[in-house]
Amino acid sequence: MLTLSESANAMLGIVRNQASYDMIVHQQHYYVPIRHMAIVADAQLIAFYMPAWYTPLPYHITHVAQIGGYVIQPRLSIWPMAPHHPRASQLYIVLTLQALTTLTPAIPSPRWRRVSVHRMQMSTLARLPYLGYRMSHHTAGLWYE
Amino acid sequence: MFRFGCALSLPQRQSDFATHIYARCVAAQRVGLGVVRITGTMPQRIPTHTEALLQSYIQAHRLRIVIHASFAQLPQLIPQFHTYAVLFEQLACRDAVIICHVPQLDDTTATLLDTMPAAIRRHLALEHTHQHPEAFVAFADRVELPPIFDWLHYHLQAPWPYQPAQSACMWAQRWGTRQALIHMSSPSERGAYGAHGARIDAPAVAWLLRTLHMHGIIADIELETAAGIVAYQRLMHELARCAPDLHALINQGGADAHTI
Repeated sequence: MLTLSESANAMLGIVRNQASYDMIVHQQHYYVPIRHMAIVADAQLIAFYMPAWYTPLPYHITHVAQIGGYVIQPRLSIWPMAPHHPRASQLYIVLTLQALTTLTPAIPSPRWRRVSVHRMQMSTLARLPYLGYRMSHHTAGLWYE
Repeated sequence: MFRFGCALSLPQRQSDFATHIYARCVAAQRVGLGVVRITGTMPQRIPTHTEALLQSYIQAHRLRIVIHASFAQLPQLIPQFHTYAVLFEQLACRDAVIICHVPQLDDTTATLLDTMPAAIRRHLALEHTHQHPEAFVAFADRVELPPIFDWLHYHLQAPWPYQPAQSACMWAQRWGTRQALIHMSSPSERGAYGAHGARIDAPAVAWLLRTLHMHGIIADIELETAAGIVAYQRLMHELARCAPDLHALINQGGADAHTI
């Protein structure tokens, strides 16, 4: 059972495709580019944002999990079936997830279609539908890649 | 430029040693710390794919790695010291420090320290704790290892004449070509006698930095406080207000003001 403390540091990650979704749900893993280590290092929770491809509930934050562990790996180790990928040799942080939980209700976030990795506290995450417009307007450079 | 360091309270999680070091380096650099304290567990060899990443990050941001050895008898620590030395060699951290406590200033300890391999002694430094400052520095001179001046322990010993800043300078000069490391903390307002306070006394730091600067000594300052980064940020804020000339001498190149 996952306890969501309002003061916990959380990060938000996008689930880009079905393969990433399967990795999260079945293998309890999620990978983040190494440049986001500053965010990953002090996050206790990770929430997952589903973009348009997720037809059951697009543009929603649907899942949250605890970060149990992390390790730096080349992309090739994570996706050995794609040796010729342009970023095959780049390093990623592989997160081990614990207590993956479906958010009920899911948090709608219609404005954030390009967000990748983001830092916040759980209290902020819970208020996203109300704060999203104003914060995305003022801190666009921080929120979007 | 003076560099600062303090304990980082990152979430506990499973990771390999390379990820552990990299996360701490990034977290430290993000708030403007130049001294990175990593936990003194038995390190593993860094995998090849992360070796270059760590090396380049540490060198690009001029970070100094510091390991506090655990409180144990010296003979038990020697295998750990060996692995630390190998790690520093692998990461090309020439100025990294292994901080060692010497509970007893006796002949046995001196012999043990004297006979340690050069690869370990190159990184070793002795931390002042409960000993009389004069006896401690004489012991450090005897074993030819640099002493780490500890402001709080000096204050608690209260030697006469009471000259902590001047003593810190004299101890720092014993580091020779290595950049000196100094421990700074303030007495706890409520905790047990000798405990580190949550806050760092900014005027005391200003006194120390000004004296070091007057003598032309550049040192790294490690803050020992349970409040960690909060205490460091508050100290920087107070220094910027009361001693802006000294604040300008502090290397905060990596400080990232983005907070939500």
